[in-house]
Amino acid sequence: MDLVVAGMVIGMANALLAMGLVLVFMSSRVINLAHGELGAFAVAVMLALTRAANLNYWLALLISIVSSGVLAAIIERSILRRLFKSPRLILLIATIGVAQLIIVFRLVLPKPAAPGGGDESAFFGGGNVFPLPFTIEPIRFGRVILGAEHFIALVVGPLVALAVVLFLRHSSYGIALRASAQNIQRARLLGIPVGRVSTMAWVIAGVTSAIASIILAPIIGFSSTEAVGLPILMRGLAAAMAARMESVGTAFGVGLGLGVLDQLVFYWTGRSGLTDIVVFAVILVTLLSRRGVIKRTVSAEESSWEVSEPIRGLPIEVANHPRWRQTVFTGFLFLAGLVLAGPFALGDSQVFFLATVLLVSVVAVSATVLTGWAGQMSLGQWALAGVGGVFGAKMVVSAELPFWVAFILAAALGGLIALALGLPALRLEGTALAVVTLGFAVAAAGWLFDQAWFKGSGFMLRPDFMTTRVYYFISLALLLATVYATRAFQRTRVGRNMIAVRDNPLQALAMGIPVVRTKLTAFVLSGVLAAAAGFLWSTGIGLADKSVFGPVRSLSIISAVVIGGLGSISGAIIGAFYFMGIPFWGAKISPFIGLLATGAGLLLLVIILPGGLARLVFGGRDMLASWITGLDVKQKVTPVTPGLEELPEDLSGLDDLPSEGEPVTSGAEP
Amino acid sequence: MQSVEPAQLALSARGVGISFGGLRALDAVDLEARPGEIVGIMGPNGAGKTTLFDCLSGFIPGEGQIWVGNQEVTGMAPNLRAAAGLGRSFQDARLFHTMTVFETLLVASELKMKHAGVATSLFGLPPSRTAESNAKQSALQMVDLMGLGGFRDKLIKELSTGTRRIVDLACVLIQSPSVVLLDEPSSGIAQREAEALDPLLRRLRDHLGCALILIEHDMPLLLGLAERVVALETGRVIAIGLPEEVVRHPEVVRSYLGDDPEAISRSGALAPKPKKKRKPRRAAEK
Repeated sequence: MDLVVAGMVIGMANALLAMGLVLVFMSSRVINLAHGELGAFAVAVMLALTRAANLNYWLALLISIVSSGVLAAIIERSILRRLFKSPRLILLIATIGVAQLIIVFRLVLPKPAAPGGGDESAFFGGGNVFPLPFTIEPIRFGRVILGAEHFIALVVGPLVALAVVLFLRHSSYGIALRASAQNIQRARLLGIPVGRVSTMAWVIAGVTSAIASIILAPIIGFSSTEAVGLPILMRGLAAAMAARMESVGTAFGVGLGLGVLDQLVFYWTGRSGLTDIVVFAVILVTLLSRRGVIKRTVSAEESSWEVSEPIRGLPIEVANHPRWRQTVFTGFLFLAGLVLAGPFALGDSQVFFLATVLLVSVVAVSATVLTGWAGQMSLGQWALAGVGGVFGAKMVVSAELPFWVAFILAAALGGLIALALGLPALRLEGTALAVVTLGFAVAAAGWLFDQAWFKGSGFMLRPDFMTTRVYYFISLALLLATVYATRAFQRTRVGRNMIAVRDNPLQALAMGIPVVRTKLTAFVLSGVLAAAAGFLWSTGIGLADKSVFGPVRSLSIISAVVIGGLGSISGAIIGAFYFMGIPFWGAKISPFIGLLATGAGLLLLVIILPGGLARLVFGGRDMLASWITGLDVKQKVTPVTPGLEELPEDLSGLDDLPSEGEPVTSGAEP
Repeated sequence: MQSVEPAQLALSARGVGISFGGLRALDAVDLEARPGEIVGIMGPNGAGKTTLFDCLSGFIPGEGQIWVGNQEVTGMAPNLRAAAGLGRSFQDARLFHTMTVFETLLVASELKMKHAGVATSLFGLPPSRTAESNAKQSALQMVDLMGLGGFRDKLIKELSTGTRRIVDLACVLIQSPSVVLLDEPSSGIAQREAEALDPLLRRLRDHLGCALILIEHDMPLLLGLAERVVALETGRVIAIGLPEEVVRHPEVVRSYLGDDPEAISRSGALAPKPKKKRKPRRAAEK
């Protein structure tokens, strides 16, 4: 019983988080990965006001809550609404950008001096640091000690939940929100101000998140520099999913339950990783067993998967123009020279850094295959890399296998695990799959990478031949092999089928394409590539545990791919360089530049340039080509119909097309 | 039984049925088609026409047995039924909207490319290359034949409905099935284009020698093409036989056609057509 109470205190975080997620999903049809950051922002404001500015508790509380609500409203108005018609993946990734942006806001707030004068990134925990409205003598209850902060959480949490439930049920805004969640077009036609209602939902979500974070910060602690933990977000998400993203009350209840479970599991096993697996299972089971709102709305909206216009090749006359070919050849030689000579001109740390960028590029390409082509939203690519890294390290260090044997085994295991991850994907789509893969990323870091049978010592040996330069060239070779293979893929049957399956699975089936096998092929290929890169990654840094392959980077990688341009190989590589390069080379300008570049850069790109950086690059290519060759590069889009009425004459040739004389080698002719 | 032996039929379905919850959407429907025959399916909205197609092509697991040629396909996945020779088009002809016309035709060549497996295409090995270049050649031929030359590198989403319909038919041609199920080929296209469909579909049938089964609300088109007509209502077959017999069948008249002769005879393009599901030309919009 004492543990249950303690669990409920912890569970309050999940519960309020889940409620906020449901609210935002109802209004914007997106899982708001920035939700936790809204609350963390309020906590940072609170700290700044009470500690640095010595403001009265209640006044500071009011300001923090209001600022979080205002921030939520701004986000909804300026970003989410613009993207409402975009594919859900883009919206989901935009919330990652929002989260990174809020972190930057939080970091520039004045920070209170840490107790004991430590550095400013100190971890704040306990009521002695975080302000409380009143204090009481801690009460002992069984095995737990309850202070004022616990009682506040136990009382205020349910009150907030009750207020939200009552609001949804009885206020006109609440009813309007529920209506537009069910059918937004209809709601709009009925005269509901859908936009205002949506902003309202965001404000409430922001305020809830703020209250939740402020009452919980004294209990679970708060770090001003780190992102709000994905494991907590996953618990909230699991509760929200169990409530089918439509019932705020259920979400609250399940969230509490997960908190209790967390506490019990922690008490019995001394670890919290097991709960990550349970959370993953809850998500998987609820998604697979219920045909809830998520499934319905998602599949209806996702059917128009359209990230942006695909990048077209140059017209054949331009591509074959001798001067253009010469230019391409020169450019290629220049690039090759740069790539080959680079490691001899740069210092060791720079070369090492470049090698890691090449490896991230490989993982980004693997995400392109899976998400860009096959349309399977994956937020867990880095965890697949981790499979290769952690397991491969065990093969090398504990099993003492030769390096290359371990490399192949690691890549194969990556493919196998990706295949297993692909099985639920056969029944899930879009956002639902994104949640499952994110759950996988969290569970892998929290549980799988900690298991004795999977993880070795946590260290990785670097073979003797592996100097930094060799490391660079091996990474380069892996990237080149990846690009070669995926390009061959993209241009031929299997890659084409992936895109066909993404665009219109029913039509693909009717044409005889094995849809299931095509999807699974994408998973396996992407798993192999990611795991191979992960293996080399851990070889480079010498570490192979969950700290290296945490879930946050999985999110960064998918945003890098979107920044670069989802769907094109070069886009993935450009994205990887952008995402890795700016923090590395820009660190001297400002420590926040990385977050700012990926956060704000992501949002700007998604809104202004949906094709990603690749579009800019290829636009440049087109201009260059037309300047060099003097030919018109733009393919004219003639919006005309070859009317069916003109056809019968043209079709006279149809009889001359002998089916047996067709140059088709296979024996599939009837 | 006076019907033809299953082996001589291009398609034969017996006792096809399906319930959605308490609703009996299809009830013991028998359907057969000889090679080269054109069978029309008519019926009011909700009669189960498209559902029947979905059952035949395996998108909905229904009751009953289905043969394509002399191969039983009951219970098979849709892509295996396609491999057995069952081709199908969809009412919306959405195809693959981020692909070009040429790429779409290549995708349609899937059944002729069994040699281009994952491994061979990953490494660009000869079997994959031969299959690819063959597919490209026949796709190019098809582009020429169907007059799609100016559209070869256009994206599907840039095309009008009428053009997409042609691409769709070209895909069916490339697939060269022995049975083709066409779901309202005239929907979403203009009257004049719809008139051109009649000879086009006949040519398609003549060329492939396939059985053609089509759902159609455009009565003149349906009655002109079909050698046999099946009328469905609320999931049951209410009439089957020669077109002129079926349109006079009292139950068909009551449930679907009404007694307005305008509904079944082609009239001027501007005449009001009470029962026709024809949308005004949307093609020119894009």
